[in-house]
Amino acid sequence: MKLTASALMSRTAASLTVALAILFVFITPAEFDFDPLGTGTLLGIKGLSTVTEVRSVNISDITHTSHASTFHLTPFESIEVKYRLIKGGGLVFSWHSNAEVLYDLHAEPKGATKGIAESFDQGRMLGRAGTYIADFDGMHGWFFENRGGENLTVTIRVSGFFREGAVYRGGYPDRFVISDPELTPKLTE
Amino acid sequence: MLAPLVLGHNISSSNTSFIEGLDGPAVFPFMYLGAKHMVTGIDHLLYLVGVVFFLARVKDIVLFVSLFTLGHSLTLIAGVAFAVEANTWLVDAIIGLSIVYKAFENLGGFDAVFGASINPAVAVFGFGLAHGLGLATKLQAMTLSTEGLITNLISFNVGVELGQFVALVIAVLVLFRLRSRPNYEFEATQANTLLMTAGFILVGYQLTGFFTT
Repeated sequence: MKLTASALMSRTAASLTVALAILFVFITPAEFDFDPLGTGTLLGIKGLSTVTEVRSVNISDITHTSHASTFHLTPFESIEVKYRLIKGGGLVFSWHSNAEVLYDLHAEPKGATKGIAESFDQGRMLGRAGTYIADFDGMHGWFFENRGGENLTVTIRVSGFFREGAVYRGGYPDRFVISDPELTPKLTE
Repeated sequence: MLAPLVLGHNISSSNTSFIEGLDGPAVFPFMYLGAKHMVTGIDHLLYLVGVVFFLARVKDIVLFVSLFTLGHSLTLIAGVAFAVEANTWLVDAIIGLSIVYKAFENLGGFDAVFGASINPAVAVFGFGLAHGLGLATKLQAMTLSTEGLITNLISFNVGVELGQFVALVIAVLVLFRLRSRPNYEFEATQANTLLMTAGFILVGYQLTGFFTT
């Protein structure tokens, strides 16, 4: 198909216009966070390129707190200890038991239906230590159950960015709040 | 987690860390990367489609592809060997422009609008140089060990040609089939206009990247 010069120029102009429209409506808002027409916000694609991977540093508004507890579990008795963390909040933890104990490190998202939880680490061990970074706001912590025939003792120590937590024994929560203002200076506000 | 849209594409980060861990000649990893870069690189592929679009004779295809290969091999090897520092965004913008140019040429644009055109064989060699510089900047973005650099560079280049061959076979087969369609001339015009649009988008993408990052 032989095109005349004017047909060619209008075709090129149309091509360029379509390209610019696609570029500024979709691509630059999504890829470069550059949203000159506001379409990125409208469509919810602005900031798609913002990388949300695990970061080396998560800055917190509050200072960290430490909490230690020891539980005695008779055979088939279970207990839960949890801390309220916001997304990105971390816990450094160590726990150990004098005999193998069933454990489940899990979290319940804030506002989720009771019973909805995500597990991150489960098994039967004598102890475990590590770093936990909350992926969402909610209660995060451990379930321990004695599946053996002997009484056992579990000791857990955590440090992290929480102000409250709860110990659940026999289905009843025993909430604790770290409220000592000396311990909890606000860093921002 | 979302993977970034692969436009002016980089070698993926997991491949990068693997390559950076290598010390010494590694023929097949680099060959694989070269082939992968070509086969998954929309910019190189679109340009190649533009180049072979109206080439009906195998002899012409071989000639044009050889000129393109010569061009990009020269700048790929020279660029990495002499550590030429080129801006990736700008080089990729030129690669995008090569697609616009080729589509405009395929539409008969230079003759119709300017009454003259550059010999397509010369243009394909020239843009081959630009594409090679683009390949060089991608390879340089990885911290390459100087140990076995030339072997790895040539392996990467061979991989690029293998990937290009695979992509070309597919493109040529599809284009040959299209030619027998009754509406071919109209479809070819539309296809090249779309090719030009894609080229413009790539240019815009790379220039935005250049100015915003």
